[in-house]
Order: sequence, then C-alpha cells, then structure tokens
Amino acid sequence: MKLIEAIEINNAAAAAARTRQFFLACGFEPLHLRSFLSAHLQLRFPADKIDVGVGVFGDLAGNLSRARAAGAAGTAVAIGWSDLDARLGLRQLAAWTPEIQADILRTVEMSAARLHTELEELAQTCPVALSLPSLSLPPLASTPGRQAAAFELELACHAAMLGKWAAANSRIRVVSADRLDEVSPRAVRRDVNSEMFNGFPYSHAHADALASAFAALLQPAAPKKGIITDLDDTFWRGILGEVGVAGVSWDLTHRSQAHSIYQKFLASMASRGVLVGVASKNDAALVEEAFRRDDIGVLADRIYPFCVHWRPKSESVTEILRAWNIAADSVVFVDDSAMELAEVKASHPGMECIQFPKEAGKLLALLAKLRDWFGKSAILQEDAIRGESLRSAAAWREAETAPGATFESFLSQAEQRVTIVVAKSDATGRAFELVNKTNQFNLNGRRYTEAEWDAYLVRPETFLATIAYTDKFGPLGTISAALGRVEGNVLHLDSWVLSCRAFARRIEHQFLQGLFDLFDVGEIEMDHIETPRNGPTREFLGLFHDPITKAEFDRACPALYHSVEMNRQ
Amino acid sequence: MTDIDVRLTNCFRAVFPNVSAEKIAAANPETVPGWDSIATATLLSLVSEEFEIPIDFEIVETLNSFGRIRDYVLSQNSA
Repeated sequence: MKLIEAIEINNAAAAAARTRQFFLACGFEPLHLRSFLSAHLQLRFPADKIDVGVGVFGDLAGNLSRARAAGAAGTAVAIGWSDLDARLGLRQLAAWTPEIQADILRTVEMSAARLHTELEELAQTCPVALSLPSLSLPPLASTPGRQAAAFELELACHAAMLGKWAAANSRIRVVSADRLDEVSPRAVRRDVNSEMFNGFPYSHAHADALASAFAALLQPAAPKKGIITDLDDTFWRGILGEVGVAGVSWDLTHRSQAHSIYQKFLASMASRGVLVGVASKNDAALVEEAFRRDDIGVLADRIYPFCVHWRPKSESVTEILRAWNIAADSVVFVDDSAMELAEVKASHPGMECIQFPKEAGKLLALLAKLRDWFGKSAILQEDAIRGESLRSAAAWREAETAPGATFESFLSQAEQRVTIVVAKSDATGRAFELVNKTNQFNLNGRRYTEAEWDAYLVRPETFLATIAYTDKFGPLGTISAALGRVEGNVLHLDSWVLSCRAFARRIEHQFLQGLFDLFDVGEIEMDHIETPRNGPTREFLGLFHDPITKAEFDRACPALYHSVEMNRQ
Repeated sequence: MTDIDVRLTNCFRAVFPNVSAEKIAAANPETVPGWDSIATATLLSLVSEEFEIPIDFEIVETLNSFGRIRDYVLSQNSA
C-alpha cells in the first residue's frame, strides 16, 4: 500500500457512523505508521471509522499505560532499540565508546523488565500486537559489520526474551520477525532523514509492512477448518493404479521427499484439530493398502473421510463437506492437477483450491500459505478431539438409522451427558472462538472483537453460558455458547451458537431447560436475526413463540434424555 | 492546470481533505487550519512518493505553500 492510498482509505471512512478505537504505542513519532495501521484496520472493519490513538514522544512505557487508560479495542506496540536505551537511537548525542556497552546492557535489561510489566497489565485490558525492534542496531560494536559482536547478540537476547515471554501470553501476539524479513527487507527499512528530522524512523514500505502485520494480529481472519487432499502426485509421488503400493514414494531415495514433508505437515495439522480428508480418483482397496505401509506419514485414522472412487472430484468434495458439515469457504483443496482444481472450484467457488507444486523448491511456499490459513493462536481441547468427534457423529448417524431403531429409543440409550456452566468469563477462549466462527446454529450471526466480548461480560447483569457434551460414542467437548443477561423475570439471549457437530441431539432444548432452571425466570427472549446461513436456528426457534414462556417450553419440548450437570460460577 | 499541478493538488487534498480544490493553489499554514509539523511531514512524504524525489530536510521549513512545493518539485525534476 502506498502512503497516499492509506490516507485516502482513512479519509473515505470519515463519515462512518461508528468509531472503533485502537491505540498505537511507540516511543518514536508515530507519523506514517499510524496512517498505515489505521488504513489496514479500516480494511478489516469497512463499516466503521477507525481511530488510532497515540501517546507521547520518547515514552513507550508510559504510552503502554496510556493505552490501558484509552480503553482501546486493541493496541499495536512497536518497540525500537531507543526505547530500550536512548543511546541505541540516532537522535541521541552520546558517545559510542566501548566503555558504555556494559551500562547499555544494564539499561536495556531494566527497560525490558519495565515493558514486561506494562505489557502484562495492558494485555489484561485489550489484545496486544507486539513488534520487537525491527531496525538494525547502530554501529556501536567494534567488530566489522559482517561479524556479530557479543554485545549485539546480548542485546538481541534481551529483546528475544521479552518476545518469548510475550508470545506465551494468550492476549499478546508477537509479529513474526521471519515474516517481516520476507516482506520488508532489512536494508531498506530505515529512513535516516525522517528519523533525524521527524523522529519517524521507518521507510514507507516498512511502515506499511509492519502496520499490515499489526492489523492481521489485532483482527485475525477466522482460521479455515479443513483440508481435502488428492493422493497421486500430491500426497505421494506416483500413480498408485500404475505403479502399485510399493511403487509410490515419499523419500529421499526416490527424490520424492517433498511428499513426505507434506504428509508430516498434514499430520501436524490433524493433531491440532484441522480436518483432513482425501478426495482421490483411485482404487479404494489399493489406497487402503498404501495407508498400511509402515513409512506412511499420516495414519489413516487421522484422515476422515476417504472419498476414493472414479467419479468427479467435485462430488468427492461435496461428500466430504457433508460429512464435516462445514461450508466450502472454510476448506482448502490441494491437488497437483490444474484441471481437477478448476473442476472443484467451479462447483465450490468459495473454496480455496491450490496446486501441489511439481518443483520441490516451491513446497515451502505452499506450506506457509496453509499455515497462514489454518494457524491459530492457541490449541484448545476441542481441537484435539475434533476428528474423533466427527467419526462419532458418523457412528451416531449409523446407529440412528439402524433397522428397527426409533429415534426416541436411540436417544434414550445414547448415554448423553451435558455440563452447563454459567460464568463471567472463559479462560480457555473456546466460547469466544465458537461465537465467532459458527454460522448455521447462530442466533443472529453477531461477531465480537475481544474488546467487545470483554465489555459485554463486564456488565453486572450479563453472563456467559457454555455446554460441554459427551455420549457413548465419545466426547464433543464444549459445543455451545451463549451471551445473555437477566432483567427481572426475563432472560435475554444476545448471542447463542451450537456447533454443527452437535445437531440432532436435543442439546439446544436441554440448554433452554437448563437456563430456565438455573435462573428461575418465566421467559427467555432471543435476539434472533435471520442470516443467509442460520437456517437451523430459524427452524428450531420456529417451534416456539418469542419470547418463550416457561409454560410454552414445557409443553413443546420433546423428551430429553441427558444427564445434566449445572455449574453457576 | 499542468500534470504536476494535478498530482500535487491530489497530495494536498489527501492531507487537507476539507480544503477545496480552488483554495489549494493558495494554500499555506496561515490559510489552512491544521497545517502543523505533522501535516508538513505527511505532505512532503506524499510529494516524495508521488514524484519519486527526495526531500531536502535542510529546506523543509521553506516548503510552506503550494507554490513553493511546486517550485521544489520542478527544480528536482529538472535537476
């Protein structure tokens, strides 16, 4: 983005009705970094006007405290070396003699400790995106520039330790130095004239790159949920039907190691809760045999489902989406064939369809793209059991439709257990994630920033309710969340979602029953708004009037077989 | 209006969106509310980006009107 584009984006948003307040904390003059940050955030919140507050020059630690007081929806923090010791900047007239190095190291350590304290407090009030010093150190060290000095490495170590601590804090996201290196070459990051005359040290390009990273960390895109992979010349090298099980390869000996790396990457994604499915035109028995090879990188039980037949790939993809019960725009399809990719894309235009590269050198770019699409700040317990719960859902469907079984007899023998927890917060972050990614059973499609979520729950009349579910087929984890408030005899639900994995188990009924019981209210009122995708919610609410009275609920509610544990914190 | 005038006017309008196009030609810190040091730094950065010329920070204080900035751009382009 050019500077003028950033300014024009910001100017164009001036008339928006609602303002979203963010904060940029830095010790230098924020100048263009503020403009670029505002523009990148503006693109993520097109309906609102972004306002980026700033602090005062030369006082980063104080600005972190000011950010806390500002009540912003998020804060971007750009640390410069001169924030750790002013002698490491270009604007300070101090001797760069070897004797001062020990004192600089001591000062940097103390400054880092103070920033640690301030960042920890700030992160309790809003999400933080943090950039460690991104400009090169001035030439203080006595070694030639091509040789690292212990002094420089020790400075870098202090910065890295601060970053390491910050990255472990669930509310602080640290800008990746590697990614910044890729998009903003170090040699052209600094604008010396601007630093000396304006107090702003970054080139336009670097300010743009850093602002883009900040915006992506402060308002991350929802991660994708599933990957569908081809097999021949993608998962492994070779055409299974032609060369047989022993003939396909993924190793150094056959110069097909790239496929092994891809397999390892898929296994790693599966272990983090990403759904992995296979769509392959192949002989199913041969594929099964290939997955029994000792050296396979992804065990067959980590993949669900396998759609292996000779029909069009788009049909396989449709089957997989149905099994996962998620939308095409949450899924990535990987295949080596441009024609297959085009065929799937034509049937599922919302899906990202990406070609497995023929050149091994391009593999890492593919994996980096997948990491960006699927990466999450934290892995939750539900992520670990997602694949298992899909299989249990399949087992559920099979048992439900077994000859001779009625739905009622099936439900009554399913050993369903729900745990309803009503609280003011959710330390795991699962409820926040659910509300922000669920589409089908979603009361109104409302999404929340972390700051909006916190602001809602800090109100004394509000609560967060979650439901965890398990049955004899296995646990589903926390699959429903609601934000509500009680006013007199009426309980209002402002948001309510239920994971699509948990449909048709009468959990939604049990949830309302639980709320009536826990809060002892006479009515539940829903803030229902139809969206293009929340048909299941509309269908469920169609069973009742709005608001739902306790008497009506008791009359209309079908038999519930759950064993219920309720916990109000 | 020359091509330079049009491009320079765009830079001014980005920094001072509330100033009409007719008033920009006569713009200076006295006639334009909000023309402070930050606005100067932003404006000159835009000019540098638009015309791909360096800004001589020694003479920044003299670049305080549409006309003077226009002259500076012309001098850099002919240099």
